[in-house]
Amino acid sequence: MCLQGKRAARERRKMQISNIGFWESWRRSQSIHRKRVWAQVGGALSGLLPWQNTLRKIEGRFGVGVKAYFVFLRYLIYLNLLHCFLICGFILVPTGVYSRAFREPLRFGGNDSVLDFVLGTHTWTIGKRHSMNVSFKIFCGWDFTIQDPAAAQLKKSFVRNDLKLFLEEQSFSLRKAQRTLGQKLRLYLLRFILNLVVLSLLGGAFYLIYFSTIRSRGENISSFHWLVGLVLQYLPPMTISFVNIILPHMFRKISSFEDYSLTVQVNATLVRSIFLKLASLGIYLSFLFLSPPKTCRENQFGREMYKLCVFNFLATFCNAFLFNYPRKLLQEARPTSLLARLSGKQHFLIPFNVLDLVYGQTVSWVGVHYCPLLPLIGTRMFRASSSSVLFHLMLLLGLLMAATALGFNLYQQEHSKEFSCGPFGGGESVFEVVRVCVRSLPGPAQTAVRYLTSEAFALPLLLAEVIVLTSYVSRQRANQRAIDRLKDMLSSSDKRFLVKQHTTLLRDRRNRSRGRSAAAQPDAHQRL
Amino acid sequence: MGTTASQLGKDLLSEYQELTFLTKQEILLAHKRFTELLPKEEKNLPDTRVPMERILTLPELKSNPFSKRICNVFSTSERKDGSLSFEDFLDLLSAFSDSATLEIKSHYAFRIFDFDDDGTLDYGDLEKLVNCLTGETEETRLNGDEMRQLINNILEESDIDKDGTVNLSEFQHVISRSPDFVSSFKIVL
Repeated sequence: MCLQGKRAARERRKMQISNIGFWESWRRSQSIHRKRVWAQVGGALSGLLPWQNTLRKIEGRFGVGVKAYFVFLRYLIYLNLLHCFLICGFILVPTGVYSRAFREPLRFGGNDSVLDFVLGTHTWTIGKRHSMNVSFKIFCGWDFTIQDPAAAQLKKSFVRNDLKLFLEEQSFSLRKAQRTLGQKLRLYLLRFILNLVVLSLLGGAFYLIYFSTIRSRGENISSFHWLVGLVLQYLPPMTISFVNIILPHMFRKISSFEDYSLTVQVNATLVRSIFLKLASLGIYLSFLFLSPPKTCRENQFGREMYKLCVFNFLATFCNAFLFNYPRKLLQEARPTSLLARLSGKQHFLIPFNVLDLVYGQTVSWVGVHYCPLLPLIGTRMFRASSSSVLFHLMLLLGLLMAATALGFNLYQQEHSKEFSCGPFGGGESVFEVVRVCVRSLPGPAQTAVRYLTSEAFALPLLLAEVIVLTSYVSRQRANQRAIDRLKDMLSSSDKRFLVKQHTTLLRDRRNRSRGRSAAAQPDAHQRL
Repeated sequence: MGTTASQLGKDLLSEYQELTFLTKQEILLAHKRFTELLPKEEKNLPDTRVPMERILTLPELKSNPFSKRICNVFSTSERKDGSLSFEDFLDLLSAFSDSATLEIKSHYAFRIFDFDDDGTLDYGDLEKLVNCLTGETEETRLNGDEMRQLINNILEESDIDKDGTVNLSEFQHVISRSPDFVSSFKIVL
């Protein structure tokens, strides 16, 4: 309906209003005014959020997908900053103020403090979720918010690649159905050999980490030049980062020989990389636990996590500015040269980037109890995550690992009191400090805390949780059943019938409104 | 800004506000941008039309592969030349605004994708649509086999009554399942 038509409709409504009397017309005008006031309040409130305009510009240039990414990034920055403030408020500041307990607090070796940390910047290209439905890709394929010609070009090639990928997958499944027995056997043999190769690569990587850990903890570090000493100290993080950068690319190449469909290829690479990243971190942590502590385990632990974090950041930084950026320049200057073709076009692979984030966040979680400023460095890490279940599962694995490491460390601390230091120095464990703190509280607060920790509170809490969970689960089951039933009911013949019905209804309504507006148009024109 | 506001007039402004999904600021901005497209001598005339070629120079539409279709759909010109009056322009912005509903947006999307204006998306429309999405040049468009495979896929999914074309309700059925559509079918000045 164009503006003229709307005008006519409004005139008609005004005529009705004059019939319905004073009270009703006042009510309607009030509701319009209320709506306007709310719109203005909403506009004023949204102006208070930071980076609103920047986000809008980003949306205009690169489209909705990238904007969603940055909105999420903003949220995560808030989250990590909050984490940082909490730690600062409850640990760092009290430690600083009550310097009585200031016995070699959370500080690092002289070499480490030289390194500054700057928050990372990154080059982005467009990324988007996968949807299985091809009609979406066509009908909702274009992002009308795009203004930048380069971004429009990028979007076009993205749509093209996406469509080609879909078509390839489809013809791949056709081809797979037609494979002969001999071909299948040969393929399985090849896959077996390639899996052996992957396993030996993983074994080699773990041995390398082991070797570098041993080397960095050798006795004679201080006898070298300070630079060599620094490199030696940073050897395990370097090895881990190096392994984590190189091996996923090799896994990707290997899985391309295995003749899986493309999504399976990506998933296989992803699973192998998850295993590599989390296992390498786990192995490193267990070495740290098992080796005899020299001075103070907590400080050492925090220092290692700090090193990992800093080095991870440096690696990403170098990857962006020393590798990807020159590659981009090269490709722009000489698109046909051999080197440019060898290095390939730059892609933003969301799965691998999310994997990096999970790894970074795990390091940050493990380390935060020993090196409180870590979330501040870690803000870069936790940038984005797709809604995919796999990524959240990975994050959960990382959290579990961090929790295990912390728990194990606490357990060990209980048994070997002479080495404990850090904020809980002087032979006190975390539990004892809490106990002392609670004892110093006033009477009513103490009884409250005692009640909260007693069985009398825990049992009803557990019961309530069980009830809530049960209700959720049963509701989910009921919904699932309803969905299934509705799907059954909507078998294709019913669907066809419904759509026909809908079309005729629409046509009727359109005809009627056309007739009415044609009748109303002339007098509307006269009035204008 | 002051002169623009007085040019539009308070009554007209609030009327536009009621008839579109736009806010007062958006209407004023739209008016400013629209008068910038007009040549000097026509600036003060009411009801002037801006030819399609000038509309397409707007950065918001310049890189959009569907920009010509958009002009044609929203133009009320009798000569069917895609030229827009200010009210047509407001209509366009209203349909593409944040607050327009899914139904309105999908309706206009359907009309934009319906290249031959016959009320359904047939094979030719879908082919043009896909070409717009992938780029129209010889090396960027899909080859014949791929195109055929793709369009057969689309029809198999969306053409529920199996008449070989996608009609409006089938189109809206597909769109209603996409969470991204409302946020991506948007042009903001």
